[in-house]
This record gives sequence, C-alpha cells and structure tokens, in this order.
Amino acid sequence: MIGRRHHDMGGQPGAKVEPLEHDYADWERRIDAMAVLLWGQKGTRKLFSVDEHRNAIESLPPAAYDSMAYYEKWIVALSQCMVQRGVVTGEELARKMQDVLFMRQHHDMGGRPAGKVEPTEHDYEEWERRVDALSVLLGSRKILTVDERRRAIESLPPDAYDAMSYYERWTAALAQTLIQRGVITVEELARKMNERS
Amino acid sequence: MSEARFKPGERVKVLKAYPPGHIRTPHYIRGCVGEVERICGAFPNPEELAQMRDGLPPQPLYRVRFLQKNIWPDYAGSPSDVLEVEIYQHWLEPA
Repeated sequence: MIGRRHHDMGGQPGAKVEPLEHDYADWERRIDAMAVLLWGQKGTRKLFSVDEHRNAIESLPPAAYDSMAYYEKWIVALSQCMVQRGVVTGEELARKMQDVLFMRQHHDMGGRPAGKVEPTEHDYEEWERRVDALSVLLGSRKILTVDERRRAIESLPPDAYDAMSYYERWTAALAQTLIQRGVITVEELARKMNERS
Repeated sequence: MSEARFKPGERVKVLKAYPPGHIRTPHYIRGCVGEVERICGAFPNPEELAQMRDGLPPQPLYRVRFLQKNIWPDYAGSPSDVLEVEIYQHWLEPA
C-alpha cells in the first residue's frame, strides 16, 4: 500500500465527529495570529510559507500528531519552520524553552547576557543609608532575617525588579517582610502611605 | 549540625531542581559536576530562614570547584579555568 500520511484521514475509520463550537483561548488566538503574520499574508515580512507550515504539521510523528491539540501542532510546526529557515537555531530554542520549563527566577542572572558592568563608586543617599541601617538592625533584633528580605526582593515581579533601584527593592522587601511577620498590617501601611500622598 | 557527607577532593553533582523560594544555588550551576574544594562550615539553612523557620540543624556548606568549560557550552577561555561556588549540602549528591 502506498503510504498514506498519518494526517490524511479522509475516508478512514474514525470516531464520530462532534461539530462543537468552542471559544479559543488567548494562546490559541496568539499562535494563529503569529502564524498568519509569519506567512507574510498581512503585508508582513514573510519568514516561511503556509505550505511549509502545513508540511511541518503533517510531518509530526503519528503519536505526537494524535496527542496534540490543534494549535499545539501549529506552534510546534511554526518553531520547526523557523529552525529550517535558519531564523532561530534548534539549540537556541531548546535553551529558551529550558528557561521557561526550569523556572529561572528573574533575579538569578548569573551567566545571562547583560550589558557591560561599570565598576563606579557612588555616594549613598541619606534615605538609602537609613533603609540599610533599619534592615540590618531589624535583623539583629531577630524581628526578621536577611534571608526573608532576600526572598521578598527576589519575589518582586520582573518588571518591578527591573524598574527599581537597589535600595528601592530593599524598601519594598522590608515592608513585605514586616507585613509577613505581623509587625505591621497591609492596611496600616496603605493608610499611612495614603496620608503622605 | 548535620554530618558533612563529602570531603575535599570528592566529586559532587548539583541537583537539577527548581524549587520556589529563596534559593542560594545559582540557576546556571544546577546539574553541573564539580569537586569539593573545602568545607566552609555549617549554617542554618537559608531556604528555611527565608520562610520564617529556624533552618536547623545547620547544613554543611561546601566550596565546590567547577571547570568553566563544563558550565558554559560556548566557553572560549582556557580549558583549565575554574569557577567556585558555595553550595549547601542538601543540593549535592555524589557524582
């Protein structure tokens, strides 16, 4: 028998087709939109053709083809096309996927690409010295630990982490740990901040 | 204090684990194999301290020496360059 490719199911025995409509999830819409743009169909720069994309879907191993949702096939095929076209390398893709799978915390930047480090000294502002002193003293009074403060700093959302200066992070972490320890409450802090605004 | 399981010169592998919280083992070194350079002492476990617990018994802390070329796939420096990282015992297994 001439090999039928697995996806080419017309006329084959199959389960009953349930013509159900369903809403698409955001990730599905996003993949659909991305693919159309990468095919160059909206006046965008064409990175690969719709047919390359189809071929990549149809080349999935049968077990993978059957176990994946429709748009999962699309995204796998899309990345396959980009690798084939040399837009990205397989290794780059694998590394980036590892970052997501093996959750690297945002602050844990060792070995990541970054700008040149400029080793300049600078004076600390009065408020920075004060935050530092307070944090260390609260540690020596056993009201909180340096590790709790670090954890609070590292738990800042990535955009906040990047936007804040070093001692701004310390300040945010100090407030967070004092709340966790029950020294102050969220409401008290919010009200006091509101009085000053 | 927990007993020190490793001696200087022993080969150890860093756990390839990704728990949440305040973790003192850098992301890039997880899964790498190195050699114990020295035992630095024993300290309350910072991962536990960060969760407002006492971190006891103290965990042995090791300075572990890795070859740079074993850490970075595209490392361009000398093949004998090393990197030392201080790692708590519960992150290490025999290699």
